[in-house]
Amino acid sequence: MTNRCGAIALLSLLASCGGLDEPIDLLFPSGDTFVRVETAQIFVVEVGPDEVGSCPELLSQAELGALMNTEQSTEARPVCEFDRGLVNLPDVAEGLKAYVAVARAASGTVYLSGCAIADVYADEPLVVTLTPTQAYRVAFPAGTAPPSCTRELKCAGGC
Amino acid sequence: MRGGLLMSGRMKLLVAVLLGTALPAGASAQTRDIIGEAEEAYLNVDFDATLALAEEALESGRLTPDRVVRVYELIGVAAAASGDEDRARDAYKKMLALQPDSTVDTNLAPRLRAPFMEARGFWSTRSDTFAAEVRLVRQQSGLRVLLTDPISMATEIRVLTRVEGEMTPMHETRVPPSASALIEVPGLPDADRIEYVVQVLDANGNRLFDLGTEDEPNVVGRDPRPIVVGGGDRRIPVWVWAVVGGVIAAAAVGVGLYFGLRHEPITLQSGIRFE
Repeated sequence: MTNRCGAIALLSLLASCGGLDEPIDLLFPSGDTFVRVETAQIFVVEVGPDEVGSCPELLSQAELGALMNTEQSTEARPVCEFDRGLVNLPDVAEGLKAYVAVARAASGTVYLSGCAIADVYADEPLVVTLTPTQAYRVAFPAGTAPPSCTRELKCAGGC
Repeated sequence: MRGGLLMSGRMKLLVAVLLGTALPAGASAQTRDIIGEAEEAYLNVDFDATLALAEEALESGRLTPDRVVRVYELIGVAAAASGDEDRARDAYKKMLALQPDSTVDTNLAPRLRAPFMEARGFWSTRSDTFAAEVRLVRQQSGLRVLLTDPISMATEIRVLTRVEGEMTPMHETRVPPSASALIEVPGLPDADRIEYVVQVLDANGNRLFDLGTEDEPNVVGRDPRPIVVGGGDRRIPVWVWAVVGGVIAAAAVGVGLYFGLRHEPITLQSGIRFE
C-alpha cells in the first residue's frame, strides 16, 4: 500500500513537471498549395518589445535561406508529417517570439512563408498563416490548372 | 559525690582520648561521646563536670558548627553556675557570634541568665556578626574568601576547590584568617564553574562556619559555554537551530514560489489548417 502511494505520488510529481502541449498550426491558403510543396520548417526567433514589426524582414531572410539569430527550429520535414502532428518544438522558452514558417518545393525553393509573433505562454493557440512567395507565383501563375493530387492522396503516398 | 562523678567522667575521657589516639578516624565519634557526657552532667546539675567535659570537647577539635554552639552554651551555663561570670559571658558571646538567634533555658535562675543577657547586649550594639562568603575572581585565577570575625574566633580558613565535573580530589588550601583572602584555584581562569568548600576553623580545629561540604560542595561561576570545539559539551545552542530552521523555511518558501509561479514548459505540436 505504501509503495503504491509512493508510486502515485512520484507519477503525479513527474506529470506535474512534464509540461504542456500546445498546437502550432500552419494555415495554408488552399489544398493546392499544400500539394505543391514537399517540406516545411519552422524557426523561432526571439524578438524584443520594440521588434513586433520585424516579420517582413524575417520572411525575407527565410525565403533567402539565411534566417539569422534563430533560437530554435524544426528540421525541414515533409508537410504530411506536420499534418499528422509528428513535428514539434519542445520546451519553447517564455517571452515574445517570432514563429517563421516556410514551405518548400522538392527543389528547395520557398513557395510559401509566414510569420507570427506571439508569447505562447500568454497568447491564444498559435497559427502561422502561409502566403505564396514570388517564386510560387512565377511557378504557378494565375490560371494554372489545379493539381490532380489531393491532400489525402499526397499524404497516403499516392501522388 | 560531685567529685566522684567528675572523676568518673574524667576516667571516661581518658579512655576516650586513648581510643582517639589509637583510632584517629573515630575522633568525631569520641567528640560526640564527650558532649554526650557533658549533656548528662548538665542534666545531673553537675556544673563542674559539665564545664570540664565541655572544655574537653572543645579542645578535642573537629566539632561541627552546631556542636560548637552547643558546647559554648554548656560552658556558659556551667561557668555562670560556678560563679565565673566573665567566662560565662565570653562563652555566650561566642555562641551568639555563631548563632545570633540562640537562646538559653528560660527556666534558668536570673543569676545564671545574666551573663547571657550581657552577651546579647554586646552583640546588640554591633552591626556585624560572624560570617563568611566567597566570590570568584577570574582575573586573578582564584576565589576570594571574605571573613567577618568581630571577636577573632577564627585561626585558620580551609578551602577545598575543584573544577566542576572533574573526578579528582579537591585541592586543599589553608590560610590564616583575614578579612579578604585570595585562594588560588587550579583550572582558573579557563574553567567555567568551580566547586568549593570553605571551613572557618578555631584554634582547636573545630569548624566555626561552613560553606558547602565535601559531599555537596557549593558552586560558583558562569554557565558553561554552549559549544566547545573538542570539548566534552557539544550541545548546539538554540539560536543555531533557529537559523537552520529559518534557512530551511526560506528555502521551502522559495521552492514553493518557484513551482507555484513558474509556467510549465510548452511544446508546440504541429498541425495543418486551410483557409
